[in-house]
Amino acid sequence: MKIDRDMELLQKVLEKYGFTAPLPPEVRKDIYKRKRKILVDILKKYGRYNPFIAGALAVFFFMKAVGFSLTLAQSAGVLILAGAIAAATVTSGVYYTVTRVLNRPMSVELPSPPAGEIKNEQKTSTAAPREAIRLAPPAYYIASPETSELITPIVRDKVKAALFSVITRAKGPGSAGYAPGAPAPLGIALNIEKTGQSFTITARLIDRATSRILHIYTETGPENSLESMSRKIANDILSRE
Amino acid sequence: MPLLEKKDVLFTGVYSDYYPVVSGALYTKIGNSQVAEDLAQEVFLALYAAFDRVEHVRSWLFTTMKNVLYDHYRVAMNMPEETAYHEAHDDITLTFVNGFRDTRIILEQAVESVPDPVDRVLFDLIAVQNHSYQEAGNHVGLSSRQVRYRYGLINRHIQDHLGARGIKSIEDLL
Repeated sequence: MKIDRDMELLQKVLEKYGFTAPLPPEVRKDIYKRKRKILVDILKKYGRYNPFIAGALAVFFFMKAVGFSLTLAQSAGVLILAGAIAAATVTSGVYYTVTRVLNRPMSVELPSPPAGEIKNEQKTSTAAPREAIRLAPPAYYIASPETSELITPIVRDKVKAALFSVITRAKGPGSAGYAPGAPAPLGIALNIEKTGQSFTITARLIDRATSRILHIYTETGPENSLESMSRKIANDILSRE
Repeated sequence: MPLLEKKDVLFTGVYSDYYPVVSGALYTKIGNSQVAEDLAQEVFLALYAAFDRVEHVRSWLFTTMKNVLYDHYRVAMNMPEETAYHEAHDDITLTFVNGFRDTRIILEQAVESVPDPVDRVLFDLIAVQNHSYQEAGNHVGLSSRQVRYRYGLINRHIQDHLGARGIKSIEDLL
């Protein structure tokens, strides 16, 4: 190419007239390597070196090396921005982790009742939805019964909702809740069974501090009586106080 | 005192561009990279102290470099004052005679006519000190492609300047 040839010719002319003073490769490398350190020494000598300038210089030289010419002020801006992004990332990460830990579902381990006394006893998973917004710490924690092909989520929710409504109507808003982490002293562990066309609801009233079963309530009836059975159980539980 | 002053910002930019030029020029004179580095540091320490008063950074740096070299020859190398002065301020033009001297002066003027300070730094690094495009780019914050492009423009500018002085073909100077 003509341009390359012209550049080559000019270089030869410069050499002929004593303009050139080529440096050995190791000297060129050394100059580049020591450049930043010498600048730091100069700034230190004039008392102008501080951690902020150190960070800005790191950005400044990094950007130069990758082919971007920034001023030290722009490098400082990049440093501040990068710091803010890092801080926001860490904060949101910590917040997310802490929130996840605090909202993790807990399970209540119930002691086995005496043999033959209680039918269909099951360990109840208490992973409950967090749909309740409580005004005050609830007195009753209503644990979700397990669902199956026979016991659908609709059946389960009908029972839970009936219990919830009777208790909150009698004891006031926020007196019952579904959140397992809430500090409710009493737990209601539900179990629903379907035999033929009839449903059996078993509710165990539990002292959550000791995991002791205080009482067991059972009601059996057809599907259309699920709500009335649940309400009766709720009233029985309340009348025990 | 603010964390970052305007002087720090301006000085860092100037230092980043000119340090390799000054340090390389000192190495050419001294032949010892450690001593060249120390002297370059001395030059830039003086620049920082006088920064607010300096108008033409490049000429100020080269004048100070010669003074620092003179002191070095005189004090560290025990040269007589006159010899030290000639060593530090030697004018290579004097080594050329007759028409060659005139041509060299015209070439010098052509190089000095490069208007952009960064282009002038690139010329010193690439043409004089034999840095690669990549190495020169690392010093001034350009990619090697950008440096190659700009170096092509610098060459063209010099050749245009020579053309205006009646040198139509660069080959005539060889």
